[in-house]
Amino acid sequence: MKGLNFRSEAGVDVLALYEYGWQGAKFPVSAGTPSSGKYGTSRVINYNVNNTFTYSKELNEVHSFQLLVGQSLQKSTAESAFIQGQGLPTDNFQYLANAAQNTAFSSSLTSFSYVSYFGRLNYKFSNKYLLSASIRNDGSSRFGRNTQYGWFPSASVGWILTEEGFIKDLGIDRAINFFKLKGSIGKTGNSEISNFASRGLYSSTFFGDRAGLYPTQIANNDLSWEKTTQTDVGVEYTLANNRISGGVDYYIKNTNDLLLALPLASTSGYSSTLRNLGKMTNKGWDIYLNTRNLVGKFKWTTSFNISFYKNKVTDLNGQPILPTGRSLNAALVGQPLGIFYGVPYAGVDPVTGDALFTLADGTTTNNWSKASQTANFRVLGNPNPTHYGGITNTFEYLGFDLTVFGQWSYGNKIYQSGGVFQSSGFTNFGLDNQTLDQLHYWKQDGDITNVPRPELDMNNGARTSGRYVSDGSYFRFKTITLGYSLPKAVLDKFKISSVKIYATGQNLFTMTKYQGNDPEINYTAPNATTQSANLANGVDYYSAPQAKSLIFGIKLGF
Amino acid sequence: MKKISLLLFIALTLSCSKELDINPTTSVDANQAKQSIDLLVTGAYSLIGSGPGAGGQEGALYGTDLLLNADLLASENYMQWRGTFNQYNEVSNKAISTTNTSITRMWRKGYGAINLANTILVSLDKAKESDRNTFKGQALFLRGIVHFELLRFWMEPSTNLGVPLLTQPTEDFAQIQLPARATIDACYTSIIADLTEAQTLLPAADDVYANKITAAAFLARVYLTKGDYNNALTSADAVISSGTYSLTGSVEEAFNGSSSESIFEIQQTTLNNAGTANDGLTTFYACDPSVPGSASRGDVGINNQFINLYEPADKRVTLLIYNGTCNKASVTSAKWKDPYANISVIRLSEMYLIRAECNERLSSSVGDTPVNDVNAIRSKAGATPYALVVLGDILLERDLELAFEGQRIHDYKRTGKQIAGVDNQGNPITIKYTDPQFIFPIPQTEINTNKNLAQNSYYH
Repeated sequence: MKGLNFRSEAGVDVLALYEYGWQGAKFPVSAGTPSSGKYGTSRVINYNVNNTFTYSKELNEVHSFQLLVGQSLQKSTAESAFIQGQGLPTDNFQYLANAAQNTAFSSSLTSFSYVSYFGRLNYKFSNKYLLSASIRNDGSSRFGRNTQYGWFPSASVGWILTEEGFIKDLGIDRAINFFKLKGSIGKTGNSEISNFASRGLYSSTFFGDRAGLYPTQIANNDLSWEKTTQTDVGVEYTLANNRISGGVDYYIKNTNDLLLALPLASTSGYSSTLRNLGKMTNKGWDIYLNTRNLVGKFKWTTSFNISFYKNKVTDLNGQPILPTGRSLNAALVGQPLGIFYGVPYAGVDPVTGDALFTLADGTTTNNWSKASQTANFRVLGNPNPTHYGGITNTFEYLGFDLTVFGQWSYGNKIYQSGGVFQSSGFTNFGLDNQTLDQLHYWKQDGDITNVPRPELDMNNGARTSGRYVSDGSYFRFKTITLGYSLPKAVLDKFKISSVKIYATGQNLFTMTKYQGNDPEINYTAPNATTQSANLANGVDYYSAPQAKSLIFGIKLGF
Repeated sequence: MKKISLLLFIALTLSCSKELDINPTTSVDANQAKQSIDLLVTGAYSLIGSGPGAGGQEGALYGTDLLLNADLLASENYMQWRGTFNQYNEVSNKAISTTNTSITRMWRKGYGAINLANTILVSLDKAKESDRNTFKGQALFLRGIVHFELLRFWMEPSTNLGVPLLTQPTEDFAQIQLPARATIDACYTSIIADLTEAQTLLPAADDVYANKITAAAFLARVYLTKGDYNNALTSADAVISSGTYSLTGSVEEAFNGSSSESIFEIQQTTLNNAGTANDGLTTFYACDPSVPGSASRGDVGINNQFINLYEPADKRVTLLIYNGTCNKASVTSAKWKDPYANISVIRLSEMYLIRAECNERLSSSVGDTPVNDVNAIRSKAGATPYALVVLGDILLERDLELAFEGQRIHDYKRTGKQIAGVDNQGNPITIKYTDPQFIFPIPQTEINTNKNLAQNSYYH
């Protein structure tokens, strides 16, 4: 049949990793411990099979249809093993093979799969009106036996005004080159959870050298897809003789059946279980603009994008998820997912140098243990930015070109959960290098500072609290590239088609008040996807800073 | 060609639905696991010792927390916490938060073990008929001792609140209960019933899991804590007179490995142990890098006031307390030195001391006289024997003999011990171990998830 196409794709991805490790006998932290060697290997194999039928048809040169039906299968298997031994004869021996004793080993093998069936219909009328509708049925091995599949329909419309006769008749096609209105509504699913999260599971454990079994996970056969319905309206345009182009989108995402780890009364033998609970909304604007500011001998173009969004949990089945341990991220109705929630820090008592914490009644105490009860918890900050974006400027003149790319995030808070060790006034026996602000510690009666009196062997305020939550806003010159392309006249002599000499600097300058290593490390995906792990938004725990780098290069083209 | 591809498409579509049936390889389905009751029994024993943690073995329950916290909670004139772990620092300083991770872990792991014991009790029909009594006895034994250990830390006599008693397993989400705390009396009744029934069901001998004598030894401990001296005496005497166990020739033999004296031990090997975990008992106590595998942090330091309670030649000080050679150079206990060795949980010495105390309190001499029982312990340590003993001597001997073995705070609570101490400003005060700050808080996570749980008064 004319217009009918069948396409079948199969793909395999293999990732293999081998890791060797050695720790010499003189390793400082563990003076006296025997030298050790280790070897680890891990392998991930991904299979993909896609089969699609497409059928295209044009009628009367104005109606254009495209129908697609298909199915896909994805399966991923991850395998790893690790072994460690200690007691290498001398530091000349750095491989596991020479170890006297096996001290640790482990291995794991785990898989997941997706099966999808889908269909899509596209319709175009005279290149002016665009219609599209699709439906998918996705199945994931991660969900409960009865609830593996979810239905995800979507539809979109588009109207290219600049193709309309009555617009063309206005004769403004040099001022408005292209203008499109668009809208869409669609449902998507999220299955980013651990591989067997719905099962009741037992794992192995040992009593001496006897193997036994113990329960690790409580069954939840109804665990299913987290579903998001997204409504989107927007425009796309090109103006002023193609000098200006851009677009604006506004979206509302309503998420149901949030996948979150629900804390359980552990008298049940289990302390949490993954459940579909609650609802969340995300509303936001995405705006982008590209301009060609100067187009003569000296060229200057700018591209700019900015996004605003607001995230709010709207329902949790009456069960807020409160932070425990060193975490501050909570799920509370009416607040963004992962909001920082905990004991507020009240600074340092100028008389004694003690760290103070605020209680629910507004008074302060130097007793963290007393303050750390849930009744005293308050919202300490939002890990989501008010807005974030990027700007790129490119200049070209006589073979020279300069590109400056900057990015920012504004209004987000970062929680330094490693602060209890890294900004702790030597509580931690000096095992950690301390942050610079620790030098402003309280020294005598009357000192006004936020850094408490340092104490060896004693903890003065280095506990989980608002003390380690701070502003994470920044603007960073992410990349700056200066290049020079040799003129054509020179190149022709050497029969080379292009030569470009360039220098690129990455992360050269950053403007921020953030006290930790790097504010960018916190930067998680915008519009927080909703898997339970993402409750831990905006957390800096010993994050390595982005590297500052300078690259010099020559690019030759023949 | 088109027909072939259509057929291919249909064939693939039909075969795909099976692709979602993936089974885990490093865990098994719960229903499958419950076919092997013997493995669940071993699993339950693992949970009370160096059981599985987030990154391998960890020092929960008898692996660390039950023993260490009982000594740290009565640290005055005894020991100091010198380590970086805030959870133990809080216990040592009596500034305990409701989010304390060690205390939360004791609760979680304790009820995890109880839940597995309850699962065994309802799954006994899967076991061979001939094994059922033994497995039932093991499960009742474990449920009894874990409820007891939790009760000792959490009970508040002024409100008569014990701990939640769990006697049914939770096997799926719908079965989750929100139990309230049982009264202290109800807890003792349940614990004693479990251990008494276990005693009749367990085999006469087993040197890895519990046997009849093990159950009797724990019963002696339970009755003593309850103040039921008659029954404590009967149980302790039954253990001693069984002749199954004997005092070791030297004081060191009883530790860092199996001995003739230990009635119940947490089994450990080079690969499966709490001692090399980040929070194992030997990780904290040991301060001797020459011991293979030892983390030797020396996080515990023993005070001179305590050392001076021993006679200078007492081998329990000359051999079991040493000047550490690790970075912190702590003066520490040699009872917890070898990270790979079994952890002794209950020893014959304790039975002699229980028998002596009960005979003294009841003015009887069942088995032997109090002075002979105390001298049996002292002569093993090379300490001067007593000519006669009073109750205070026996209690002091418990402090000296069972030091760092997780009995101190429980002894001080049941005997209403008071000592002279100083407050934070250095002013003299009387420390009463029956005061509410020596009772653990119900973990915050449990208060948050179970509205029926009442918090202890100090943490209101």
